Amino acid sequence: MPEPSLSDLAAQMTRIEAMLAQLLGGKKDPIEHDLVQLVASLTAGEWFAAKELWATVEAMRVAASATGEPMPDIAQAFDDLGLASTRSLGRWLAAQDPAVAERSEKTRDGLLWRVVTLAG
Amino acid sequence: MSNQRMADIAALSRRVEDAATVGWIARAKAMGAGADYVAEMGGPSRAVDVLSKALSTGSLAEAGAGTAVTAFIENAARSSAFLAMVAERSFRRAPFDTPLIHSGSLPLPEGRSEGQMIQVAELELEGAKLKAQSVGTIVIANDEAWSRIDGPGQSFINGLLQAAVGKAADARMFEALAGTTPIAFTAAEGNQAALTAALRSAMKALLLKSGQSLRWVLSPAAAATLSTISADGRISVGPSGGTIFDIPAYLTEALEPGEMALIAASEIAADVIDLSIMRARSATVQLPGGEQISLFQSNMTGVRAVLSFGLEPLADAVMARVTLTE
Repeated sequence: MPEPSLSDLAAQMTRIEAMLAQLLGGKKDPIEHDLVQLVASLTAGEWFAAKELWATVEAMRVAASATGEPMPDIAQAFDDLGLASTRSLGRWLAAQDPAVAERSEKTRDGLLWRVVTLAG
Repeated sequence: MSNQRMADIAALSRRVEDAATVGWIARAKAMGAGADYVAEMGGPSRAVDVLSKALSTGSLAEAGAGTAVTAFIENAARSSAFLAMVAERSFRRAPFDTPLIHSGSLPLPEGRSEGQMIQVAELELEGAKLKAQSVGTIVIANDEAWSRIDGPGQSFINGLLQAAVGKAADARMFEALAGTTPIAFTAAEGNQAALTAALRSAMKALLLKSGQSLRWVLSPAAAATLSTISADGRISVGPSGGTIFDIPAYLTEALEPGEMALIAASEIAADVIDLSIMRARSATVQLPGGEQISLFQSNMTGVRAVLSFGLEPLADAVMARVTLTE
């Protein structure tokens, strides 16, 4: 592996600072802060498309409702933040700090995102 | 999908929804409610579909809910040896209503030319046929229990349905296998060496080919006896089954207390084709003591569940029994 350049290190620092700010609460709304954590854990810190995340949370919501179990936290957080479609979820992801919600180039599945937190 | 973890979670969620379908249909039938009620209460969409097709038979497969039947069987596998073997495909799968005449040649000699006679080990010209049969059971619960749609309430009803269907299916499987001249062994309950020897003899009697799938089925009392035996780690049996000589073991209530059976599942053609759920028309239950209770007066409702399946032994010896003696 090549030595990391100074600019790489700087980018890494920015990222860690953003994560710390997020972890300590910072200016973020607590629900929003929770949702970042929930998304990071559901996606295992790997790349995903917004429509994929939306469909998975919908499937979880339906399964919980069909079995009478409590609504999953992530579905509740979507409701609390008024995320009601793939499109609004995409807008929410785009509004996050790019150091926390990384964005890929356009792919076959549309834009891909990657949400990583310090805890994850 | 590009994210594997989410793909897994979404698939699991759909399976959970499918598994809840049978319980919801039973609930709706018990309460005399329709598709609208299930939709309003957030029930599975497949249950809504089935209930909106007003079929007189109550058949889930006809109503297009085959995956719900499969999910139900997978969950009921915990309480039934037959359904466990169906769920994990231990039985030979075969087409229904088709005579099954089959054989394979002996290994062909080198330099054999086409057109020569084919040497076979055996050929059963009778041709066993896998035919659909059904076994029914009625699940009775009070109306309050039927109407609970929270997690514990659903879990309670699902447990009742799975246990009832599983028990009926196991009883019918042993009825069918009793007609195949099972090979019988006995062993004194207190004599571990004799018991281990009897189990080994049963395995020797059935393990005749490579690639066979054999399964032990134990009565709960026999499993309790075996749970204290290790045979150098070759036997490991507990309340949820285990293994005996590396062969999986299941528990069933369909066997008498001291009974164990080894089943050559790969020599039996079997499959489940359908589950029907209907409201039971009978209005009275009779307790073992003879006392009769009116369901209506005690706010109870019965739902009839009928499992359609096929089971056809394809060999003479498909079961060995080991009976514990005092």
